[in-house]
Amino acid sequence: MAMYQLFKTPNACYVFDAVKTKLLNISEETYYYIEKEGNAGDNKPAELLRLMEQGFLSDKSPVEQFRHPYMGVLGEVLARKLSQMTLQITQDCNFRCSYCIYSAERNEKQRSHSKKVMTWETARQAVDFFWEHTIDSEGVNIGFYGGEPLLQSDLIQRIIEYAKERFAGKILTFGMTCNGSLLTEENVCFLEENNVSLLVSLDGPKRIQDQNRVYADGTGTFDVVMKRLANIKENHPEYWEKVHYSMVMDPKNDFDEINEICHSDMIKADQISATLVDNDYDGTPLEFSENYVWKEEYQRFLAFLASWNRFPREKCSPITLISTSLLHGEKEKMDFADPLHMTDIPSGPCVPGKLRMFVDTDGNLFPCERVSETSPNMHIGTLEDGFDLEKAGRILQVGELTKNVCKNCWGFRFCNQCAKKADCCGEQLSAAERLRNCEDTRYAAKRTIRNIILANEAVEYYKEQIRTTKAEETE
Amino acid sequence: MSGVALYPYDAALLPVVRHFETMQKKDTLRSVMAVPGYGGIGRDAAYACNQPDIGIPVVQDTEGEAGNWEVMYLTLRHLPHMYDAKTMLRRVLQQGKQVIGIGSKNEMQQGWVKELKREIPQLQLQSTDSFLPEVKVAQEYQPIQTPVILAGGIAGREDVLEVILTLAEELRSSGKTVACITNEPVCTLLGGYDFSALYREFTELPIVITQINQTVRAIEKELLPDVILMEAPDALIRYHSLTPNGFGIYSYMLAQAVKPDYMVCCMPADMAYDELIQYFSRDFSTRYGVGIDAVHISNMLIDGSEVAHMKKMTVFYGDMQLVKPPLQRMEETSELFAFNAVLQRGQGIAHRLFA
Repeated sequence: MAMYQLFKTPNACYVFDAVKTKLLNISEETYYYIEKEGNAGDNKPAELLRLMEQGFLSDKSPVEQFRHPYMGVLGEVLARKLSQMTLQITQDCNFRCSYCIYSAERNEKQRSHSKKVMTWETARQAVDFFWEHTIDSEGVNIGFYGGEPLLQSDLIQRIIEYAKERFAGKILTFGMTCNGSLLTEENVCFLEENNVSLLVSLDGPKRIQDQNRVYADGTGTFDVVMKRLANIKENHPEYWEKVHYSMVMDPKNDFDEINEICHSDMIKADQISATLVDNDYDGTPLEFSENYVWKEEYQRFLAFLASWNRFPREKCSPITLISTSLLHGEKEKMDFADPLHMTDIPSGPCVPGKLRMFVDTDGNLFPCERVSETSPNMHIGTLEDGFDLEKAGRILQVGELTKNVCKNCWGFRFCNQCAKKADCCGEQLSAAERLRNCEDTRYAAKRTIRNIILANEAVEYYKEQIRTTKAEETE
Repeated sequence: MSGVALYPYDAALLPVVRHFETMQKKDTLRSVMAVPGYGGIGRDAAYACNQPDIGIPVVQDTEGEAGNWEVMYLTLRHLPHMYDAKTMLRRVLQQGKQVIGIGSKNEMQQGWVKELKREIPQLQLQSTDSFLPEVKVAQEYQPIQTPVILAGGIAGREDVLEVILTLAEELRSSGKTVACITNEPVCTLLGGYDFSALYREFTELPIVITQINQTVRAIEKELLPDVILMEAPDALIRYHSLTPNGFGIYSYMLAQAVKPDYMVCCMPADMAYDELIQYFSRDFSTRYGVGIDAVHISNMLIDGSEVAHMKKMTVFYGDMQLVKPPLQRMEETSELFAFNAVLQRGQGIAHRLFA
């Protein structure tokens, strides 16, 4: 595979050089030459010769060794610098969402719903463990997860009180992901009192929500959730302002219909985090309807126009507005990215356990709540025995599995494949499983680079058409 | 000699605890106490920086309050504002013990300190500015005659105070008179000076720089030191565009005020390469008027993942074994003297620095 990628717009031609991690503006002549001949041939344009003299458009990757910068300090980081702990309060839930990764129908490689509840002893042990492993952290966060955590609201209250004692003098925050149905007045009062950051799952308007997010008997949950949110808005307006929403989008649905919920005055639309259904562990591909794909793209187009003040922001879908706001981060990534080094590693995995240590009801440790709890690969320790540094190291070094492919991939710097993508729940992480996701990863990388080009060209070629804001006009 | 307790403890105070008995003879340190959330309660004080034990355990405040000591030095800067220590402090005072809050003049002016004093009238407040000699405003800027060693860090925190106190201890033990000028109020307990308030005196910059110059000269005149050790007030250089932790502005002001003669640069172990250090040295020669004469290699590491993801510069402490390969490498490849003040304490670091 060539260590570069060509891009062409109506305005200009580009080549992304993966070795130097640079996006270069090139002439049409050079573009078409590279497209046809690559960096070979005898009649190279002068520009191409110049670029190659400067080390661009090399076929050879300088990467020889894969080593994550944290490999030498993994033990210390996990012993001293944990920042967030998520507690699986219970494996039980009063909902039976059709896409739930814990549902009996979709858990090829994941646990199922059960009645298991974290005992107080385990919870206390988890808080103590977290306390012992955070001496270098300026602030820490404890999250509550499930199943549905509010099924055990008494336990949560007890954990919060204990944690406040244990971490007194340190910045301590709390978070919770819940389905919203159990946000009773009593629960909301103690959540607000303890400033628990709330993430409520809400997939869309009634038809969309009730299609997938249902009680065990199949009845819809939209009305209950909206009633709870209305209560918060009316009786706890300041707390309501801080509630965030997790939207799981089923791409079989019409995007505009999903988006309708953003117009509800019961939720703050700019606090929605939208993701697609997670099917990593159930072995079925996601189905995308036409009405999802083209409408989502259209909204993305409107969001770009809004970022240039050519379309009212309030008429854009907040879901896609967020993606354009992420563009700034992507551009930064390009601006600050290093060239490839002899010792290097694709970005992908986080430092397992450091950022979002997940503790299940039995006190087992996982890198986060999104991995399979039945996978031996993801089981990185216990509260009793501490971290299994060997397993954590294997997750960190997951790129090593596919080194010979990855080091020659132009998408190296953009690869954000989590170790979960290499997990087929066998005894070891799988190279084949990891490589199966490469096409999607490269597609996403191309999309990122195209967005960066778009952002650059808008200013360069369409400056007159980009409206300034009132503040900018008066400067 | 009074038995004292230091409270609340955190990683920044380890150098003070480590050198407490050797750098002053007035008090003996009987207890090191911390707030519950500190994370190292029950462990040695050196665990705060993942360094070899020094034989002083850290106890929780509620456990240590009844300890065998008479005076508590309350380190105001290190007391978390959200933590309510009032009940514990009242109990301490009821036992007939003294509580002395130590801080700079600026810290004394903060609302929460004033409120603490209002609610606990027996609390004594000791401003570290009271240790500074009087400066006559009319005096001009004049050069410092005594050699000045400036110690500073790339990230701003990597054992800089430890280097200052280790050098001071060594020089004093060889009969030298040393002036230690730091940014840590608690260092006044060890006979040092705290300049932290001076750097924040934002009237006009030339006046601030002249004030620093005059204060150092007043110390020079009062103490007649053989050498002046100064702690750089901020990171010597901006670390990363994503996390502009500091631009060395205060350090620049300091360098203008005192024109340092030597510089000890403190670096995280994973950055300690001769080529990089030489690059910094060239930069510092222009920026501060002095290049790097020696390097302290620290086990404090910058948390790159938080720089990248949170746009925030935070640190963690690696194992001390991490400093050995770069020390070895520097020994083999560099003309610069590289050391670790913790591992090589008492082994003639100051001598090698001036050799």
